[in-house]
Amino acid sequence: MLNQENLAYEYALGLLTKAEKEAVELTPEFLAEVSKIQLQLSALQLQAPLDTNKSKQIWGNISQQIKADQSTWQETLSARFRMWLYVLPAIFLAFGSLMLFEETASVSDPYSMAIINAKVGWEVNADVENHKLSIASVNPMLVGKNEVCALWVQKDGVIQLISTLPNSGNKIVNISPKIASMLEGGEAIISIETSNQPMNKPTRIEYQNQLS
Amino acid sequence: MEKNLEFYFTQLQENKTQRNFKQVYKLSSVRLFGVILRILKKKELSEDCLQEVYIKIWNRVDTYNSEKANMMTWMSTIARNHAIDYVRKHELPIQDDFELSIIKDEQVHFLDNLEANDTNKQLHDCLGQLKEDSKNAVFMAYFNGLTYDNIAKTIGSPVSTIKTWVARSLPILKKCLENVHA
Repeated sequence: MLNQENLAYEYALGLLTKAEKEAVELTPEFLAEVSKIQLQLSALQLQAPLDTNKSKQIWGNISQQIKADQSTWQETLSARFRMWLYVLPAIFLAFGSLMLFEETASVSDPYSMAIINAKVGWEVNADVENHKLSIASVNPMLVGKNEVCALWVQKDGVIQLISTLPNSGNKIVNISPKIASMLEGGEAIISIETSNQPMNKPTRIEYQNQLS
Repeated sequence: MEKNLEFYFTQLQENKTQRNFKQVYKLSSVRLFGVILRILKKKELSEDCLQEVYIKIWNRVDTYNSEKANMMTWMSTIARNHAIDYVRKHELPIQDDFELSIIKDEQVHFLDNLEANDTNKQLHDCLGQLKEDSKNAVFMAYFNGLTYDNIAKTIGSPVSTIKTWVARSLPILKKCLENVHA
């Protein structure tokens, strides 16, 4: 086998480390070869033993996330349209006075409790009763390559990591009953963490807010 | 037309509704969960990853081309790649609790499944040509998402030895896979 073909197999099999993968020149021909091998290898994958023991909640989460993605897309469009309704009169009035306006963030149903306001960069709402959290990335904080924003809750001196925050799109997270109880009257915290380090407590706190 | 995965997947491509997607999920999620669980090992993480995989499938359903691959093959490739990215992105210590005995059991089940299916008997016989060590290394990489370094640590042999095993097994593997798809 040619070296390049060997490399494509190693790449497709997942044998290379991240650093080794980064060193590979990803030409369109190479990627096409990898893709072909991956599809061939999938024949093996589909013959592997099955595991049926998974939570029935997963479909509910997927369904909600798709709905949230669709509503965010629609809200973005309507928000842009709304913006012009404000901006155009403001341009006319700007000669006489300075007009300050603020776009208010919406809290989407059916989530009952707003944890983070969209102005912070994410819109986070909790369905406390069903132990679910909806996270929508609106205008996330810029972080370094190996950094990630993390959401925490703090109550009565106890601090718990809830989830990392996505750079784009939406995410539905199942939360434990303990975290759900901490959200009521607790404090929401957003911190910047190094993605390859264990997250035991917030490292660089960027935002704190008392929850009602 | 029989209302199988192919039927609902085609319906989904024509009419992208949650109802059609739910049927696709019902008919494919067990297999995809198996693909992910073999790599992530932990049920909760695998469920989280499975959720992300189906969102990815939903977003990419328009790009699926039936001339290039079977839909299940296409979805399982997405699942496996996403699971490997998930491990590496989250720097999960998955490999710490990896036991060689697990891969051997999985291999036995896997090969049994292949043998039980007449159409795959050829692949089973072909894979039988691989030497035990090489087969272990290839299976660990593919089914469990282990890199050369991880396999070397698990088996307790130098990386260079693993690379030699894999290099020897690749021409056989290539021949086996090409015959299956011929």
